[in-house]
Parts: sequence; structure tokens; C-alpha cells
Amino acid sequence: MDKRSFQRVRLIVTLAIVIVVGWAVLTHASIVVPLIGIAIGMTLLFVLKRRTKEVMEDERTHRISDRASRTAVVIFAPALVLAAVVLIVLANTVLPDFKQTGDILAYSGCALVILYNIAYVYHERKHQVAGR
Amino acid sequence: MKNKLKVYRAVNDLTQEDLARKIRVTRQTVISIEKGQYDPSLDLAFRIASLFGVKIEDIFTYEE
Repeated sequence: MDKRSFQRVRLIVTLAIVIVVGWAVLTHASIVVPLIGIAIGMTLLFVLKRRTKEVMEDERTHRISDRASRTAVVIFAPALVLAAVVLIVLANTVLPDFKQTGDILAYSGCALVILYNIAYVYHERKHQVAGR
Repeated sequence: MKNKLKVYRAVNDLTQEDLARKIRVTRQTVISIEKGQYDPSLDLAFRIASLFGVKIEDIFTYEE
């Protein structure tokens, strides 16, 4: 399989997963259905990627991916915290229904920052210069 | 960083696709290096130099 075919199949599989998950949510189907769909899709993509002979990713794509991830975290983390603060303040004043959502967002923001820092420390130690 | 990758590729009669396959990167990476938009890692620079049988500094020159 060449790179272009793999990209087409990846798009189709991704769309199929989105449809399955969306259908399961809308119809309140069992959680097993989307889980199986995701598992099958990921397995299929994994197998096809291994069978693709062309180079799919290299150091440049990894570097782009690193930067994109960092940008996403840098934008998303403060946005998450800000949204959580706004919801908690609103919950304490006029809209008490927002309390749970605000708490979930706040905990998610904390989890994201903690995970980022754990990953950062891990990679820093992994790439540490020997003999320092 | 400047480079003469395009020259070496032409001299050795390689397409971007051929070169990409030989140094195990994507064609987009070869294009980016040739355009000076991407500076390769030392490892990749060594692979390129080794492929053409020259020193790294024959292909890549550092400029501030």
C-alpha cells in the first residue's frame, strides 16, 4: 500500500469511527459499541500503517507534531482554567447548575498541566546530557 | 543554514522521491531542506553526506 492509499483509508476509518461514536451517543446505545468500533479502527490503521512501504513520518513530521502539541497545550490549558473559573464564579452567584461542569473543567485543567509536566520531566531526563 | 542538496541530487541524477527513499524521510522533508525551510538533524545530515560520499560541510554551510 502506498502513502496516498493509506491516507484515504485513514480518512474513511476516522469517519466511520466518528459515525459509530456519534450514533451510539445519539441513540444511547451500549458503551461497548463505540469501544469496539474504536478498537477495530485503531487496529486496522495500525496494521495498514505497518504494511505501508513508504516513509510515513520522519524527524520533520515529529518536530511539527511536537510544536503542534505544545501550541495546543499552551492555548487549551489557560482556556480551560479560565472557563472553569468563570463557571465556578457563576455557580457561586447566579447559576448553581454550573458548579459540577466548572469543577470538571478545573480538574481537567489540573490533570492536563500535571500530565504535561510529568511528560516534560521524563523527556528532559531521557535526553539529559551525560557527564554534566 | 545553506545547503547544496539540490545540486548534489541533480549531479547524482536522483529525483526527490529517490533521495527521500534512500535517506528514509518523506519527499516533503527533502523539498523543505532544499528550500532552506528545514534544517536537518545531525543524524540526517550525516546520512545525506554519506549517501553522496562527501563531508557534511560540503553540502551544508552554517550562516548566522
